[in-house]
Amino acid sequence: MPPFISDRLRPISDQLSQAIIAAIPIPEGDGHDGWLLPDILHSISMWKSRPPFFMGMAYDWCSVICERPTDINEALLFLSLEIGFRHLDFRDGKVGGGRLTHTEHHHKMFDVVFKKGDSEVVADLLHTWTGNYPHYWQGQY
Amino acid sequence: MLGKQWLNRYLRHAGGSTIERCGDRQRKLEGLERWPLHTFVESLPVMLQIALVLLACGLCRHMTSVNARVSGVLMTLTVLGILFYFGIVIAGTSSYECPFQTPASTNLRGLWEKVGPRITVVVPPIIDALHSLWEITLCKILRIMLRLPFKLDVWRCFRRSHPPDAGEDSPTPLLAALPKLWENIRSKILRVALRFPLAPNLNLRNRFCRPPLPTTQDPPAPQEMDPWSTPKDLAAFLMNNTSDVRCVSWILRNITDPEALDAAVRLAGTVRWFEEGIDVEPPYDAIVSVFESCFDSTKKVYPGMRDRAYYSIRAILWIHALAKCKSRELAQMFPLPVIGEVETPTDDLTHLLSVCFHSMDPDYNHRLFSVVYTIPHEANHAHVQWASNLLLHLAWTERGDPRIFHWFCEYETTYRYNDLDTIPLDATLNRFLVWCIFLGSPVEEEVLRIQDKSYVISCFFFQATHATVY
Repeated sequence: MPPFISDRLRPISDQLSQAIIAAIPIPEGDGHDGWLLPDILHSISMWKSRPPFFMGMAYDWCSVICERPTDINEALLFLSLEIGFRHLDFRDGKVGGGRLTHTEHHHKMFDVVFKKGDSEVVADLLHTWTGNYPHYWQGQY
Repeated sequence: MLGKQWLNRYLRHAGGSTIERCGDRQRKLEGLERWPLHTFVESLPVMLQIALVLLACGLCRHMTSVNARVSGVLMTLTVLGILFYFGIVIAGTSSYECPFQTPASTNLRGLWEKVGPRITVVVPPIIDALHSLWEITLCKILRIMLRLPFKLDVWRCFRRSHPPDAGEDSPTPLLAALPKLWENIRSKILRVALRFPLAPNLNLRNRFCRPPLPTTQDPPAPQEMDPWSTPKDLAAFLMNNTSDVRCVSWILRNITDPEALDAAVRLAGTVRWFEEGIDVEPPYDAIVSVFESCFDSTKKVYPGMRDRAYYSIRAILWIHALAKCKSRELAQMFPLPVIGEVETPTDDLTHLLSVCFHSMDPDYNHRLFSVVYTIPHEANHAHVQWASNLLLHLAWTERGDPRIFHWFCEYETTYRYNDLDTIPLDATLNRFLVWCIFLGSPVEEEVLRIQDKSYVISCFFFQATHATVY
């Protein structure tokens, strides 16, 4: 069976995304097991390839993470960016994750990323801009 | 006595030849049917009962003027007797099998059978109309009650803007305490009204109690599960199971339509076969033949037959497992089919299964997980798929057990299958679902049922020698 071709992949992935969003720690929350979620995100980030729609899902996670600023959430933010955008190469023209949904909380993401100053993370962030216009690299803009 | 007289007259011979006696007897029989003798015979005890009631009533009335205490005892006994009579009449009316039948209950049941269908058509609309009327009335009452405090507010504002003249009398202490009293009444009205079932219709909560603003930070509420069936549900389940067993057996033995066979094979993997005893004979040979027909001569699955092979082997393993739960001898009557040969022992799951089976660990879940943990690093697709099935099974069934979470984390740190192109997609989806379960997200059982390849898990219930059929 070729990878990522299943009618169950999208609904189960959406469910996982919702579970991750619900598990993102809340400021002044009641002590969620904080290490399971980073471990899961780390596992996903270690994949050599992932379905294209993970880009939009990871971008949504970024919004929620920035909405809930905690100490651990900065690491989650970088992992989410890595999951969504690090493996992408927009020059091949095959990136089609759909338009990303920008929210107010994404503004905080830029501050956090540039404050960190890690080049890899900054590159991931830049990919979020190009990810919104995948045809840019094909000369259509 | 009257009844005995009538029956004696019916049985008495009139004399004469046999033909004349037969004619006489036939005439009496026809007369007995024309004149409803049984009704009259049954009405005699009723008359006695009525007479008894009248006697008791008269006695009570008489004793009231003589002695009040004795009269009270008599009236109590009379009422109890009447209630007992009505009770047995109602019981006899409600059920034909009830042994306490009386003429009244028989007649009432006959009347109900005639009139009941008409009443059942007419009564529900009347009840609905009355219910609607009741709701409207309550709404109106509540609205009036809720407007009263506002009227008071209006009156207060009016008094503030138009203070009483100096010549007017100063308010009495009762009037001064009135606003506070109204506040108390108003809070009590609201407290009652908000608990009232019609409160949503009146929009009371929005009017008086602003709900907290919705936030995206609220985690989803955990689903409360009730694992216990009521005896009624259990009885219904057993009845359905019995009919399913008969239905599946009949279809698999008599029907050749492929769609019907597929449906029956699917059902065969879920029904409880030996619930009524070991005398049940599942159509095991038919299911095995369905399974074997899915493979070609090289022991590969025909295109498009994957689902049928899966469901049939699931049914086979299910029947075998259930038989093994009853006795080892019964399980031997349902031997597992052999499809394919194992080339190298390391590719086979048999040795892993034997590890589990021969393990002395009393903790079944730990035994189960230890098999997952002993999967070699050079695992093939089947190993990965199989391990993910087990993990999902454990995560779902034992999600309240913290050790499962601990084992899962160990597994995750030890085996990281990062190249998704090289592992089965179902294994990835199983991993997603396990994550969802551990993150506290409710996973629908239907999703699990689709994902769960429980036939592999079922292998643990017996010593499988050929577990390469997946």
